[in-house]
Amino acid sequence: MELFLNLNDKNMLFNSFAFLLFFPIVCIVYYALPTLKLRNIFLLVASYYFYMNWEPVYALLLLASTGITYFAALGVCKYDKHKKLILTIGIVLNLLILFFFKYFNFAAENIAALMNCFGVSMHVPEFKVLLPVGISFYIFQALGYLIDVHRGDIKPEKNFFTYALFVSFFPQLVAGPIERSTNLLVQFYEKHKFDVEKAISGINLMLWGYFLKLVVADRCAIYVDSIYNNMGNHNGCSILLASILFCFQLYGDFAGYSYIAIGCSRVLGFKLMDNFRRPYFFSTSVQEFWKRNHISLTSWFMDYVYYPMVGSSTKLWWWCFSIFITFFISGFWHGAAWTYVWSFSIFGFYLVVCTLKDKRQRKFEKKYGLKKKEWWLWLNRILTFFLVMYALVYFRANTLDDAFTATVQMATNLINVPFMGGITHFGYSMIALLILFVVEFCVEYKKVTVTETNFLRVYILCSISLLAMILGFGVFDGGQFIYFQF
Amino acid sequence: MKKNKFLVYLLTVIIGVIVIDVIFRIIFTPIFNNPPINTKAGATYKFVSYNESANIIVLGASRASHHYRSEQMEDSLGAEVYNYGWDGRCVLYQYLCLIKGIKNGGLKTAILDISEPQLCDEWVEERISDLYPYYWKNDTVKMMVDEVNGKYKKLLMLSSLVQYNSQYLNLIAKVSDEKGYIPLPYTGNPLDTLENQIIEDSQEREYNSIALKYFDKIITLCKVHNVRLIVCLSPSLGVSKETEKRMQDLCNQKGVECWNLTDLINDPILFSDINHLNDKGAELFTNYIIEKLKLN
Repeated sequence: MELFLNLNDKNMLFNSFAFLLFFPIVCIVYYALPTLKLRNIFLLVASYYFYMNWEPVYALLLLASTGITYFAALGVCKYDKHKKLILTIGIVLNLLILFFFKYFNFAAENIAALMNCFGVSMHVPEFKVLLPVGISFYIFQALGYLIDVHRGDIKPEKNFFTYALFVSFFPQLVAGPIERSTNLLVQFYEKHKFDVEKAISGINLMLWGYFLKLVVADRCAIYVDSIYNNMGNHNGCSILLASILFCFQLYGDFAGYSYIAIGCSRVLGFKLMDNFRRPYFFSTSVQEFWKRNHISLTSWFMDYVYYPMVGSSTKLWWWCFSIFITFFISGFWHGAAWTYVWSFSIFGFYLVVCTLKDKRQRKFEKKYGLKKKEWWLWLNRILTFFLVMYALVYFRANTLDDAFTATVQMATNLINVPFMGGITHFGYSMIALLILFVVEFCVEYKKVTVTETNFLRVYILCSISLLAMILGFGVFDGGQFIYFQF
Repeated sequence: MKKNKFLVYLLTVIIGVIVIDVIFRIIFTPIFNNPPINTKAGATYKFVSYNESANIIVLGASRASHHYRSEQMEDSLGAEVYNYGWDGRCVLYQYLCLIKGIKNGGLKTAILDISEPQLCDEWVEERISDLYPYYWKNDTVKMMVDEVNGKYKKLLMLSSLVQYNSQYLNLIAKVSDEKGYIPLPYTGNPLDTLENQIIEDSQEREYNSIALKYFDKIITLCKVHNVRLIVCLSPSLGVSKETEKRMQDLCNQKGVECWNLTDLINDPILFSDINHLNDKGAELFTNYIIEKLKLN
C-alpha cells in the first residue's frame, strides 16, 4: 500500500502514487501544447525528470550514452571511410559505461577468486555505486540505433533533442520494450491528436499491466520468496511449487511493466512494439517461448548478435554455436551474476537441441498428423513450461548453490507435503492465475473481439473489473519491478 | 463528441467501481464484524473484540501461540489466562492486545514472547493488513495503520475494497485454539530432516523503527498500568547465541525483566519443528513457566 501512497518515495515507480499524479499531468500538458517541437521538448524534460527521480546524477549517464551514439551516428554517415572505426568506438564507449556501472565489481570479484585459485592473494577495490536503473535497456536501444545507421537502415537523426527523446522516452526508459529507431524515432515527427479510442484502450492496457504486477506477480512473490530465501528449509515439492509460481511472478512483473509502458505510450498517441504474447501458457516449444517472451530483447539479440554471427554460414553446428553464444551473452545482459548466465546457458542449450531436432519433429508430426491436434499442442505446452521453469530456477535462486540444492530437492524429495505457511496467499495466487489463464485463453483463441459497436461497453466493463480486482486483491507493498535491476 | 465519449468512459468506470465498493461494504462489513469462530478472521477479530478479563496474558507470534497452554496455567495458578499469540504477528499486534487486556480489566502480568527478527521485520505494514477490516471500528487499529502507512492511506481506507483487500479467504481458513493456545502435533525429530538443520542467521540486523517504537510503547503502557511485563525467549533449536544475547541486552537496556529460556528444552522430539514445541513440549514448558511465576 505504501508505494501507492507515499509521495515522499523518491523512486517514481509505475505503481507509485507519484506516477499516478505525474502521468495525467504529462498527458494534459502534452496535448495542450500547440506545436510538435514544444511537445517533444516537454516530453524530453518529463522523461529526464522521471529518470532523475531515482538518482539525479545518473541522468548524466543517460545523456552521455545519448551524446556518444548521436555523434557517432552522424560520424558514421559523414566519414564513410572510417565508419567501422567510429561504430566500434561508439559501441565500446557505451559498453564501457555499462561495464563500469554494472559489471566492474562482478569482474573484480571473479578475477580475485581466480587468482586465489592460483595462490595469488589479490585485493580488488570495490566500486560502491548503485546500479543506474534501466542502464542496459537504454544503452541497448541507443546501440541498436547506431548499428541501424551504420547498416544504412535509417538516416542519422539530425535533431539532438528528438534523438535524446528517443533514448529517454519515459514509458519505456527503465525496463523496455527496447524500441527500434525505425519504429519509435519516426513517431516523434507526427503530431498526435488526442484519440479517444487509443486513450481508452491505453488505459485498459495500463490496468491490465497493474493487474499483472499487483495481483499476479506480487502475490506469487510472497510464496516464492518464502521458499527461495530459505532454500535449505524446504522440500522438493515446495520448491517445485515456488518455481512454478516464479514463472508467473516474472511474467506478471515484466509483462506488467511492458503493458503499462505500452498503455502510457498509447494514451500519448505512440505505438510501442509488443513485448509479450502469452509465452507461459501457449508456447509449444522453447523456440516459440522466446518468440513470445521479451520479444524486444530477443529480437535485439537476434538482429545485432545472432544474425551477424551466423552471416551466410549454412553449417548447422555454427548455427547452434551462435545460438548458444547469443543466449550466453543475454545471460550477462540480465545481470552481473553467474545465476543469470547459467539460466540463459540452459535456454541456449534447449534451443540448440530444438534446432537439432526441428526437422525430425516436423516429420514426426506430419506423419501422425499431430500438428493440429489440441492434445498434442497442450502436451508440448506443458513440457515447454516445465523446461522454462527449470531454467528460471537458476534465474531466481540467490546463489548457484541454492539453484543446485533446488535441482537436487526437486529430483529426490518431490513426493512430500508442500509448505503452506501462507495458505491464503497461495489461494489468492491460484485465483489470480486462473483469471490470467482465462483472459489469455480468450485472447489466444480469439473468444472475445472488440468491435466499433461494443468498444465502449467492453472497455468500461474491463476497466471496472480490473480496478476492482486491483483494489480488492492487489498486493500494494510488493516493491520494485524485477527488471529494473537490469 | 469524442471527448464526451472519454468523459462517459471515465465517469462510468468511477461510478462502477464505487457501486462495487458499496456492495462489498454492505456484504462484508457485517460478516467481518461477526466472523465465523475457529477461522483466521475469527481469530483476528478476537484482537479487537475479546472482552473477558484476564489476569495473565501471553503476547507474541507463533512461539507464543504454540508454547503457552492457557488452560494448564489457569488450573495451576488459579488465575484467568488468555494467550493472544498468533503466527506471524508483529509487535504492533502485541501492543493492540495489551491495550485490549488492560481495558478488559484485572490484568496483572503480561508475558511477551518475542525474538529479535520481530523487531527487525521489514514487512510491518503487510503484517497488520489483517486488521484493516477493523480500521473504522477500533481507534488503536486506526492509529497504527495510519502511523505505519502514512496519511495517504486514509484516503484509500475509505474504500471497502481496500479495507477487505485479500481478507476473504480468512473467513474460511480454519483454526482452532484453547483460549488462544494452538497445540502442535508430534512430528518425530525435526533435526532428522536435512531441511530443518538451519540455524537462524546470527548477523546483526537493524531494528525496524516502528517495531522498536511499539516495543517501547508496550513497556511504557505496562509501567503506567502497573502490569508486570516479562519478556520471554522461549525454547528453540534454531536461535543463535548472538541473537539471544542481543535481545537480552536490549531488555536490560530498557529495564525489562527478561527470561532467557531458549535452552530450557533441548530434546528435539519435544519440537514440532526447529522453532516450535509440540504439545508435549509446550506442557513441560508451561509447567516451568507456572513454577517460575509462582516463585516470583
